[in-house]
Amino acid sequence: MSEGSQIIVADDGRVALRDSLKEENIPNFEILKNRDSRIGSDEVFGDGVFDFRYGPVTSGFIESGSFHIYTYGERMLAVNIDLSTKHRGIEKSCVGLPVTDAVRKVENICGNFAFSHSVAYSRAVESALAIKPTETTKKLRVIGLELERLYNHLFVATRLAGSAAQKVLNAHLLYLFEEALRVNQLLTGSRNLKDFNSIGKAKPLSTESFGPSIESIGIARYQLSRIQERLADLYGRSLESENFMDRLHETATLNAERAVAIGVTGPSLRACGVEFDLRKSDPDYPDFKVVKMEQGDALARYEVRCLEVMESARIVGRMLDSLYKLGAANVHPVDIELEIPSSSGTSVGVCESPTGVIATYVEIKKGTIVDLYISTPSLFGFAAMREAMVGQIFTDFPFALDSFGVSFADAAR
Amino acid sequence: MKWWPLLGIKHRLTEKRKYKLYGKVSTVFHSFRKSLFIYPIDVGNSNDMNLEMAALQSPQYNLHRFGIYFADSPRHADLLLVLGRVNEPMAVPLRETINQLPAPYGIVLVERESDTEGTSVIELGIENIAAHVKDYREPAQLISIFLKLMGKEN
Repeated sequence: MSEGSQIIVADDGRVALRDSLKEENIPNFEILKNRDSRIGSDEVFGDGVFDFRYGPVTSGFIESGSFHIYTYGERMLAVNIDLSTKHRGIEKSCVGLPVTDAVRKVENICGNFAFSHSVAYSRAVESALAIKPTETTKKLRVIGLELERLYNHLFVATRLAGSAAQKVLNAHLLYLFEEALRVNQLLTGSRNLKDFNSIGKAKPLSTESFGPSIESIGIARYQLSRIQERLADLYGRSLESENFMDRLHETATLNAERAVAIGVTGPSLRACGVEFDLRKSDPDYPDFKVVKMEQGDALARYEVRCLEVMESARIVGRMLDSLYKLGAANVHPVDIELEIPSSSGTSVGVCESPTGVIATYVEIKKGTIVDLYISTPSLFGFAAMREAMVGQIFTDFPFALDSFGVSFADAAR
Repeated sequence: MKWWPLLGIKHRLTEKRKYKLYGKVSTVFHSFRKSLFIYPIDVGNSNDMNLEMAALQSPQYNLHRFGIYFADSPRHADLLLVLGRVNEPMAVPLRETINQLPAPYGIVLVERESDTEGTSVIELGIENIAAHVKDYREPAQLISIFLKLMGKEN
């Protein structure tokens, strides 16, 4: 992708590439320019202000990234984010590889969004090389995407409950989180849905080593409905816990205008009252309802995520039901050896990951990758988070960080 | 305010199962028979191992019953859990963290077969490696190693 060009993803999933734009016309140019190394470069000086470096090895958050927090006592005056310790340069290392080999590398950009990343990449390659995925593949991809959303959202809720010292809620949510990972394993053979999707096709559900497929679908279906039921109960109770509400309410507030200017997508944007969701106009999602909240604070993001878990469980449950009715033959479709043409092409693939839109730009020449550019939602999520944190006290830090559901691996690639 | 449901009393959330030893363990620390404090460090994995650390603390496994706890600082830890293959800028912070560990200590390396980035930590020539998991799949593998390191039969 040439410098100064921009990928624009519309609400209905249409993608536009704009070339040779001027710096001043792109509101988030500064973020995009330094996306390999840092987010933000604000500095504050004065008596009693100091630059507190948090990370890359800390027990507050486990990932190997770091924050530079300018604090005056408890209050945070500016927050900058250092991505360099996590940057692995995966996009560059994919250049020169055959398109099929790069799928596994793209999955490793962010392990908890592995399926979303592989779907966005596959969609780009499929549209560039004119490969048409089958209807079953499309269905399996919806199942994968929703399973991924489910466990990621549960993880965020777990972290928030843990940070607020809600030990009982935290333990219950951790239980559901582990159950969700086991459902993934049961259906796809991998706890984090890796190696499930490839170009043009997805693996059949539940491989032989996990027992008769049709039975495991029934078990997964039951487990999902249990997760949905128990989360609904826990969610209702958590909203009545004054302690918990006090920590989340009006913490790290983001307004819709700034969110759009930064480029935030996903639950963080929907929590500001913007109804932006690629699944809304996706034909693979019949009667899909967008979840949104108005306040834009950590509480709104928590609510959006919890409600989305229930929506995702409903979608996957319905799809599994239809597969279950069709019988074993349709769950185990004959593995067609797909011909990947060694032609050339350029395209963009998009996908609604748990934290927002992933857009993958790929340029292919005779079946090998010439250029790969991946726009990840966590980059914009971090940029919004550092703005939302300013003026908050340090105690609010974990709520701001966790409620955005961002990860360094995703942002730094 | 509603009372939280204490489901653990009615239904047992902790699973009763054996943790069969996975792979090899080179040392057994008899001094950690009663408790083992673990500090996990991310050295550049794709964040999937970090989520597994949350899964490891879930009620299904109930690590506290074995006396296994997560420490908040490497200075309070008996065991360092190195997650993933090492990304170049993280090699120095990793060595610094190891320097902070009080003796006797052990290091467990955890990698996945699907990892494609970075270099294996084993190539850094670190001492006191108690176990090396090359194809991590589920938390039970790690629990079996912890129990063996503590000299507990399970």
